[in-house]
Amino acid sequence: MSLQKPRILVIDDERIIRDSCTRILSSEGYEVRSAANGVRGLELFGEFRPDLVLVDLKMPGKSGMEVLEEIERADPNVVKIVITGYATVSSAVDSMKRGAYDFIPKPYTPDEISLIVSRGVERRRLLLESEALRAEREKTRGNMISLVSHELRAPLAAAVQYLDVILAGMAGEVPPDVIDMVERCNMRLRELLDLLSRWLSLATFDPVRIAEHFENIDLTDVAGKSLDALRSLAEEKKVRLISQAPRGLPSVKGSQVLLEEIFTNLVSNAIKYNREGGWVKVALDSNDQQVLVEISDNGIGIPEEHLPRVFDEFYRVNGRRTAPVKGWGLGLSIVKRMVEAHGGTIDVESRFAKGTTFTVTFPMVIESQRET
Amino acid sequence: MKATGKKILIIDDDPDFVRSTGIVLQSAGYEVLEAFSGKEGLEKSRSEKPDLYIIDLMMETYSEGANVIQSLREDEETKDRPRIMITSVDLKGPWESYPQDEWLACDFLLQKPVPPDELLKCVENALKRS
Repeated sequence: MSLQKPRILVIDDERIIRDSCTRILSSEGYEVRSAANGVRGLELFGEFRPDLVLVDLKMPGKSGMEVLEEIERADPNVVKIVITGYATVSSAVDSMKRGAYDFIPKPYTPDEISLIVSRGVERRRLLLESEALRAEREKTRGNMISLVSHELRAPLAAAVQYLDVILAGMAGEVPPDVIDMVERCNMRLRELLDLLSRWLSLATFDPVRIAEHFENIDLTDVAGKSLDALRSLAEEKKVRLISQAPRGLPSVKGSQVLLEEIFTNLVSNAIKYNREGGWVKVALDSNDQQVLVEISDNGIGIPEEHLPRVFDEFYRVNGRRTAPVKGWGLGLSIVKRMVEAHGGTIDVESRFAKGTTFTVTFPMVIESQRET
Repeated sequence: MKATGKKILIIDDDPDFVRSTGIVLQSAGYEVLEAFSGKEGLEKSRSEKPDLYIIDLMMETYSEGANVIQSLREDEETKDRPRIMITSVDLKGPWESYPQDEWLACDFLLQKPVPPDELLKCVENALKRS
């Protein structure tokens, strides 16, 4: 992307500075406008839509720093350069912390100003380019969500719903052996729907967007809910569920839905890859910075050579379709991403035929942050 | 099957979905009306005065269903009739993690495929609410 004729706005109360900037920069091929104070400068900013703004820090009325902040809020991609006297280098540094890209000390030579401005314009070009790429990526992602979520799911859903109607006996009588086949069809199609939704949540997982909606969460409550939801599975597999949590466990910042998903995923794995009479233990604890979650079992374990890859996408320890437990090998990679989106870590230790322990940590909410 | 005396209008551009949903509803004694676009849905809504609407979210356009709901909401005659929004969009995945958009705000939201008993339960609840 190229800027045809980069637009530059000069905001300075000294006429001589405005005129010299305009003269120097116009001769370099820029389109230049200027304003004599902050208020007028911000008005012009809205009308003129500059690529780059030069702001004098010391102006009567609205200060350069305020102007800088308002422009940063309005459009962080507009490059801001402050003009400042030698005596105020420290305030120039301060202004850079507030979004200014560079500063020009007074007095300056024409070469200095054109060099700094051309660097600033280059910066603007890069910012616009990366913004365009980001928008493009966002669009592709959005299209993919629509495509996968709707176009692929819809025909499957329509077929499954017919099978449901047949199985419910609403389409007339069906011979028992045919019912069995219809049930198999239904099950296989539901597996495919499940795969789609897992793949989709992995592919569209956006930690930044998710973090925007974080709240303070009590993991004791999350663990309890997940265990309750899995109690019938545990009974069916004859696996005992044990939970341990200290009173007053510190909160973590996170998403209730995702945290439940993490627990449910790890605990249900521990139940499925277990044996009759086995146990699954969920233990919560904390140190001075983190909340610790340990999900352990005395089940079938994971052979050592597989351990480094269990968090990889589409990796299955039992890679064959005849494996005792059905799965797509996406569960743990989703769990890992969700944990990392919470600023946490996940590790696994396992001994084949002895059992497996997943250790998950989350940064705890410090007491002073709790009010938010 | 004993007739309930209640009329349900299904608005969905997927004829397979309309058919299977219709069978389920009829089996429970509801009278079923069909519309295959938002426009047809609103026309049938005026002429038939259904007691309940089942509306697909994405039809010709991604928000056609939402527009139908908007129109029903703004009309004095239809604004209090219960509506069930149905979609094939994956509600478990990324959608669930974010607060639902304003235009998705609907008392009843189901994801396709809807198991027959779940559909009937939802219809019953929705009718009770009205």
